[in-house]
Amino acid sequence: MGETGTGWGMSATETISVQKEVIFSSKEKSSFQKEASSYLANTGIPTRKSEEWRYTPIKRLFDAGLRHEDARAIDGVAIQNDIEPITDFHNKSFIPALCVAGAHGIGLIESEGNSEIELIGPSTSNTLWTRYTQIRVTQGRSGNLVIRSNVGHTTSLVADFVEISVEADASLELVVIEQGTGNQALSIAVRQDEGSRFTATTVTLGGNLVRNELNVAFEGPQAECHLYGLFLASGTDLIDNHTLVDHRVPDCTSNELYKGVLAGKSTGVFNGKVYVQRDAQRTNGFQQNRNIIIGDQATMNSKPELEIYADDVKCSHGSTTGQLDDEALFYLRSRGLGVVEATGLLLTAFADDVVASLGNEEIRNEMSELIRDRMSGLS
Amino acid sequence: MGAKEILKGFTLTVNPGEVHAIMGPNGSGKSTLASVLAGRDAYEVTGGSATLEGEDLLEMEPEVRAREGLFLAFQYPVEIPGVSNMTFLKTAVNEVRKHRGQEPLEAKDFLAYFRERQKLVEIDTNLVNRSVNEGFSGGEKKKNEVFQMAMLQPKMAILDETDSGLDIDALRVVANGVNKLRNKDKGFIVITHYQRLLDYIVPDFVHVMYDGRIVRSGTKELALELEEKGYEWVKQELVGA
Repeated sequence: MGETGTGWGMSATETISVQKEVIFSSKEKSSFQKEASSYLANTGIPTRKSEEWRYTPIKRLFDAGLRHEDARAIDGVAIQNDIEPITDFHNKSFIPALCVAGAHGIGLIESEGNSEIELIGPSTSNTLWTRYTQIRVTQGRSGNLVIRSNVGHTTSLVADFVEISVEADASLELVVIEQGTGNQALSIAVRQDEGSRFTATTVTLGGNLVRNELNVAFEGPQAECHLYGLFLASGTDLIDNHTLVDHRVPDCTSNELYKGVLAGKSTGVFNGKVYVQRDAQRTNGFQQNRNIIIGDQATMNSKPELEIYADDVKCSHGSTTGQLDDEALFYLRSRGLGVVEATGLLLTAFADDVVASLGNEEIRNEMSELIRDRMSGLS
Repeated sequence: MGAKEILKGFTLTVNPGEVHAIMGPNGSGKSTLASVLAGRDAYEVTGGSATLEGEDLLEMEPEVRAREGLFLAFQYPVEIPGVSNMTFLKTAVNEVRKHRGQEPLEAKDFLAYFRERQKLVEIDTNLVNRSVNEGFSGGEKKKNEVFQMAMLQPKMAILDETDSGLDIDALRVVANGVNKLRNKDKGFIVITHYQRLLDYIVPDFVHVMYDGRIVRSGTKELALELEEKGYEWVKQELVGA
């Protein structure tokens, strides 16, 4: 199927046109790339019938025609050809499979100290770019990495699969800043070893269709992760955050806080899975999702999913979607603040605890300012 | 929605420099009056007018009323986590200045003004560096209302049961703040359930409100009489009349 050299074979007739246009190059593929191709061949491009893609019509982009083109490599990142995947997501999930199947190599980042990369998207219409990148933080080291993207074309798609390995006693603070008007899929899969620490803050300031996937698996005890997210959707933006924290071993802690602000006719999706496997005793798992809708026609789809198979755990989750506090708004207005200023102030305050999670002061200040600007423009 | 008539013909004129106290039993419409004047949209004004220096208040958005010089000290000040008192007040003060055609205050000048006002009303620093009212005690919230009033220097201030839930020390601070701000240009409406506050803020006039109307007006002695005889006295007189 995927080995024919003309891309992946589509079984369903409805995807034939897609098959013609999305053709990966026929270069020699490694075994995991063949696995990815064959996964794609079997499942095709997900429709909204798929639970994972229920609110995010990614297939529409393919149906409108997407030409696969070699993506521009990330500046400053070396391409490797002889490394193996860190996780098995290429074999079980659409975006990772797409990126792995279409890759000509793996971008490798050995993270230590401060670094920053930019994920560039295509500058032409109806173009698909895919990239596969690995980030490794070796034992005992600590890294701070900022990933920025600013994707433009509303008929193109840039898909990135980023695998991260945080080795024993290592730590990584990851900041993702997405600004743009185009379509972007960013799937991050993290493997954490014993005693490691991982913090991710994903800030999405808009986009026609943005799909963020963040999957964290604990493979060694005493590890912890902190996942923060903030999105601001306006117009007809669709911002989708899917997270999965998989507690496979005992004594790990996960803490998750995702917030969204929806204006206009925008759509937001939050799907947060926390799995606590049978052996993962003494797990702490917390998840919060809070959304504010300020647009009359905006929609938020929030779905926390906790699956707990161990019996000695502390887990909680909560999800709320509401409107701005009318009382607070009136209070501010009664002091002379106009609706726009008052709304901006309240929304900035709403975002505050996510911004406060940023360890790097420079980034924190940059984000406060960006968010303040965007928030006052939203109302 | 069940619409209910709350204010039923209410006439009051407050001249610059005057302090009017409005007293009355629970449910008489005192807080509704305050809310309607400040522009809370839960109420519909079915008739009548309200003016500030001849300008129609009811035509204005709440923020415009504030910029024109109306101030409401809330009975229940709202907690706004994440918004610092400082940012909030700076924005508010500069909005008012803009409305009056004045330049916004620079950070340094704002701070100087802030300190000067703080000193005037004797409100301590640690309140103002926190988020708006977040985690404040009842007394701290009311002090913060008075501080905001000092910052905004309204022409007409309405204090809605600012004394409720205050201990005697907080009451004294609040009253002292109001007295410091009292001058010949400003008008005050002090809404209260109890006479106690009026020992500290001595009113020029006292009005008794019942069932959406002013049923008696007088000077500060009326408040004492009311304290002595209770609101039942007014109700019975009304029924008797």
